[in-house]
Amino acid sequence: MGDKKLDLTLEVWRQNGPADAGKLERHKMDGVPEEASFLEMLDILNERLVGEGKEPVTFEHDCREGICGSCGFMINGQAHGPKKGTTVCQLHMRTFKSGQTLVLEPWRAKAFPVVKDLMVDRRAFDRIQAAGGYNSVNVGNAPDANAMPVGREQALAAFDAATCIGCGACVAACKNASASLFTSAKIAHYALLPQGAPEPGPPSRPHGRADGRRGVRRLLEHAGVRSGLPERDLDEVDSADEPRLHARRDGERADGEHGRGRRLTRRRLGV
Amino acid sequence: MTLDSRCPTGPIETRWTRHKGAMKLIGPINRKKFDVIVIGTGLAGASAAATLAEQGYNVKAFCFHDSPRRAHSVAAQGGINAAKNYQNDGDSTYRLFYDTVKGGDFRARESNVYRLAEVSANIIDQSVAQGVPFAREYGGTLANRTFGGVLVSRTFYARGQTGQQLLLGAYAGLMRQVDLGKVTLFPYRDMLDLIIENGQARGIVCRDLLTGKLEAHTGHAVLMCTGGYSNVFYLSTNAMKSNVTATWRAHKRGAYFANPCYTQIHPTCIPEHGDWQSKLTLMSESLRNSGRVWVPKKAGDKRPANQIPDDERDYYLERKYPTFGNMVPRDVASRNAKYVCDEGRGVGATGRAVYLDFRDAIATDGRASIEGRYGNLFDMYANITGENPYEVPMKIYPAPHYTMGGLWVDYNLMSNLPGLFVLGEANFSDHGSNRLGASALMQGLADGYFVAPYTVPDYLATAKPAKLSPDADVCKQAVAQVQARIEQMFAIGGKRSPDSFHRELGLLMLDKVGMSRTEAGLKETIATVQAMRAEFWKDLRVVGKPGEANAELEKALRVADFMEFAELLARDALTRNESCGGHFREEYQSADGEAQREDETQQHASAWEFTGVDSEPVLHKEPLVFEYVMPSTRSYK
Amino acid sequence: MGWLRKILGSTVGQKVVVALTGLALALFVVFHMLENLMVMAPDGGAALNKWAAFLHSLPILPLIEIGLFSMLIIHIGLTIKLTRENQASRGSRYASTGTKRTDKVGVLASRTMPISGVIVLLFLALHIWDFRLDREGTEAVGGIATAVGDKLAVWWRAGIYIVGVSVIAWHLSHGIQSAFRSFGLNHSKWTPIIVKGGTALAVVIGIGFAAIPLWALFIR
Ligand SMILES: Cc1cc2nc3c(=O)[nH]c(=O)nc-3n(C[C@H](O)[C@H](O)[C@H](O)COP(=O)(O)OP(=O)(O)OC[C@H]3O[C@@H](n4cnc5c(N)ncnc54)[C@H](O)[C@@H]3O)c2cc1C
Ligand code: HEM
Ligand code: HEM
Ligand code: SF4
Ligand code: F3S
Ligand code: FES
Repeated sequence: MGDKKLDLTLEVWRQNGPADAGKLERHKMDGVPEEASFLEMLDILNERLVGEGKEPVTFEHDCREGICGSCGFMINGQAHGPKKGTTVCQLHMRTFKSGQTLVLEPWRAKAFPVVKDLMVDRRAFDRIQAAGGYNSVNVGNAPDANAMPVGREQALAAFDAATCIGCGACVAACKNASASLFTSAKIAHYALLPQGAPEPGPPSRPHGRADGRRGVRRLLEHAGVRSGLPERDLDEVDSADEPRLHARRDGERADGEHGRGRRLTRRRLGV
Repeated sequence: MTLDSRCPTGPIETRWTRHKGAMKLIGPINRKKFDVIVIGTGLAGASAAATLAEQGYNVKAFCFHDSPRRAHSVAAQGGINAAKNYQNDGDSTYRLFYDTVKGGDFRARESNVYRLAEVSANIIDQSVAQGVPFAREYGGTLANRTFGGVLVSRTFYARGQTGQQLLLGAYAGLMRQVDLGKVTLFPYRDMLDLIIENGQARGIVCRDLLTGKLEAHTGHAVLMCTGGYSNVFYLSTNAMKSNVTATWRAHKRGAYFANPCYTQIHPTCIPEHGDWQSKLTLMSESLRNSGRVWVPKKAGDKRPANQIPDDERDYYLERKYPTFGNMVPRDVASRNAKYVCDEGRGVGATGRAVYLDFRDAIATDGRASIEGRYGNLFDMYANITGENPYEVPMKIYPAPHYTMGGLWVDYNLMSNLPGLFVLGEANFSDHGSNRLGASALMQGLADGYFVAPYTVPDYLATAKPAKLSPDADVCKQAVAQVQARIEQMFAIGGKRSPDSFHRELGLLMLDKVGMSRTEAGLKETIATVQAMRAEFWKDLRVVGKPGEANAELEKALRVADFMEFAELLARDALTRNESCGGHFREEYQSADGEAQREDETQQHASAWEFTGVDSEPVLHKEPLVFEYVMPSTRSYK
Repeated sequence: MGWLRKILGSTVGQKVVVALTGLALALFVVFHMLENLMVMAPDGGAALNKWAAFLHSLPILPLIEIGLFSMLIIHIGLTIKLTRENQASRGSRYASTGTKRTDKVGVLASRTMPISGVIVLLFLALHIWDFRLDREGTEAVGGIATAVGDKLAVWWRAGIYIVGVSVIAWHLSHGIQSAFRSFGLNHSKWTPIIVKGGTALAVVIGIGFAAIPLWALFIR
């Protein structure tokens, strides 16, 4: 194990609330341990700032295992930094070289107003989910779990879509700040399973009447309007079954893949 | 006050059914007259909120995250148990009940555990119906795996992300009710106090984490589903914001805290690297199937692992437990790792780690076979540590992981405060002094989907709590008290960050109240914690302002509660004069160093009553009766 | 018709229209390249002149021209509208940009679509003047083939044409595959083929067109 240290320059976005203009602030970070995670590196910075009586850099985090989806910001223009399939809490400093300058910015999207510094308000995702990211089953009267067989590959494919951690990197990285990858992941998850079929299905008339419809089908129709995100959320109507291919679509894409990346790093056999 | 567990009697198989039948119901049109407050949206909270809303009650759901989906349940990996007997390997409700009582080292209520086993199968049905993509066989049926401490295959899983998938299922159900207008979400809220009126729990005080505003919310019943308190140890496998605040504030308002000393330390975690470390990551216990645990024989041997010849290595688990070897249960493995490190034989930069070596397994089974079984775990380890476990042994160390203790509840999951229900890891009910793997998810969902939706309406129908206005004097007082506490924190103007106190507390707790405990150590801890608390209120520095998003203030409020709670934990450990499950008192061990239960004197749950921060709490004992699974001794030699 | 209105009113529907018009324009460009390659034929351009005369004699030619022109307008109009909406949904700009994608060229082509589009428009303005509006000039030199040869023998104009057609190739290298995705056609097997095919076609278009000014400059 290396106990190597890095000397870095950070350009950190500081913004005191949604109305504030915000600016980049420079911090020298000397002697950063390379085993530290990116967030631990910020912890070190914050401990120093607090020691000087200054306000620490605000960022969201909780599990620090790459699963809760709380953390995330841009590092040099890349969502969650340069490493594929990781969130910033699982990004370790050995990924970087001593002497580097790192620009840290919050996710930028109108639907994600900046709360403070690197922390943004992602409640728009909940509005999308409430607009139909569910199937309408009540508690207590479910049939036996084995009553409806689901092919192994199919279950895995649904799992792949359901593995989205809701971090918002896809919106941040999408050059149109659209939530279509996120939304399509929900749709694909339900559309691939028979349990989702009575409700959503791959819609035959995606833009049909919205009244009285619930569940995923309505998600298809309403997501954009309800979320305050660009209406492009409907993009995925057509490619619902392959969100991650869709992901590779445009310029800055492919950053949202850590949902899956995490699966790869976390396929575990037990506790 | 006497503790009435309200457990039904008679044949255990029909207790829950008969109890359900005796409970009162509320007519559908009247349900919308009741507001239910649910704090926490983990498996327990999300499932309870969704189900109660579905029945017609108005639910207000609170969490400190931006979204319900981020609750710590999301991090659970291995799986969820259910007595489905899909593998036809002899599983049954009774067997799951039996395993759980025994696994809990005979310190849980039989009635509760039986009910848990009874509803477990429904949980799987419900989750599958919601679209949880559990692992499947090629034939399309559900797959199972085996978990520690049992002889049957009853664990359902979704890759290594079972908690995430189950939570997303419950969350989707919750968002459906949000869509239907039956649930109002209150994200970004830290619950900081419980409001009691006429002895009934009727509301909460929250801080809006975006604006810093303090709010009072009222309802006819309050459900606390706020998770465990492992973070009293600072470094744990829990999420960084997991806290004791919600349950502790309820405790300070009169709710009894039961068995706080029952904590589980998981043996195979990635060890700490340095003092900046924020979090410990769990590695699957299954690794011990192939890996061999060892440390150098000589203290302070700093040679790289591969240069230490075999005869200078101490495979201490194999040496001490020839039968079970590296596969001893969690508590035994953890304790022994601590002992060898205390002897100065620990490895790694900090000296607090032991080797988990796959050299021999790779030599006998071949690298491909090891890769097939543990490839993902090895990758994860490599990503975090930068070391290649195929070439150098892994370093592991135990880490606090789960807390069996929690607020005391009766069979209806209601605390001694009428109207305050406690669900999930936050209560003390089902796991005794040790939780078996894959049972926490089961318990959270059992409580939320299948228990509280019966018992909460029963309370509403029987106690007929009145509506309380958020502008009532009790509410204003409670808000003012929280306000005063916050102002007091800012007024200190000291030099130390909340984190620095948390770290200091955690180190102390892990050392003295962690894997093994002594009377002297516990007494010393109580004194040290008191001193540390005094220091905290003298030298804390909270930067920023109260009326805005302020992560430092959030931490300070949590640490302040941990500082008070830590003392209770130590006191509980001190009065529990036995070793059982996760609680090991060095005074109580057999001649060969194994845990020794004292059933004569200790067969009870300890429920503590708060009497003031600096005054001694009062202990109430709820005797435990075993009619079906008779207490016996565990041995692993 | 409500459903049609709904589709066309949505950003997704509008993007489909951009793709349709873009592909139609691209089809024209391919066709146009083949036409113009005739100028280099050993017959001194007789075939091209004959072909042009035939086209000019078509009574529906004005209709085709109007169609082509309106497609261009729609394509440009909608892309401007969508680009502005997209920028608005980002809000503030990133101070630094980066990507994890490994095909940096593709990323650049995608990011520069509006710029390459505007350059194409400027080129078209000059080009339409040269060969469509300046009919008198064409007549004066005795036919399209000669006009093309003469005009493109002027070094600066030849230079502008070479740059212009390269930018078109650049625009199409991303545009063709992008159009398929706007239709929602995405497939693990076919998409990579479409991406490669689209880029190849764009390169062929670029080389084909660029050959003409080069020929006029150095060979004719
Ligand atoms: C790494 C790891 C792996 C695990 N793996 C397994 C496994 O494989 N199988 C298994 O059965 N168990 C496992 N467990 C245990 C299990 O995950 C938890 O015990 C269980 O999920 C707890 O669920 P809960 O609903 O009680 O609480 P949580 O999921 O912890 O939810 C707590 C909720 O309360 C809210 N909250 C907390 N405090 C406040 C406050 N003051 N104000 C407002 N809101 C608050 C939070 O926002 C959150 O919504 C694992 C645990 C860990 C740490
Ligand atoms: C002034 C002229 C033009 C401008 C401003 C312009 C601009 C654009 C823009 C911004 C896009 C969207 C790219 C994306 O979202 O990825 C686009 C797409 C496209 N353009 Fe153009 N363009 C112009 C002319 C042309 C011409 C002349 C052609 C054909 C030769 C063409 C063919 C295409 C195609 C095929 C697409 C793909 C459609 C899609 O992405 O769905 N464009 N154009
Ligand atoms: C070296 C390259 C080119 C040559 C030699 C060339 C030549 C010509 C000629 C001779 C005409 C007149 C046709 C007529 O009046 O019948 C013409 C028209 C036109 N060209 Fe080109 N062209 C070239 C490249 C392009 C490119 C790259 C585009 C588009 C992207 C383009 C678009 C047009 C259009 C739109 C017209 C008008 C058609 C009409 O209104 O009938 N040309 N071109
Ligand atoms: S295709 Fe990808 S990059 Fe483009 S709008 Fe959709 S999500 Fe954004
Ligand atoms: S994992 Fe993150 S990048 Fe998008 S698709 Fe899910 S929010
Ligand atoms: S902190 Fe949970 S994903 Fe990074």
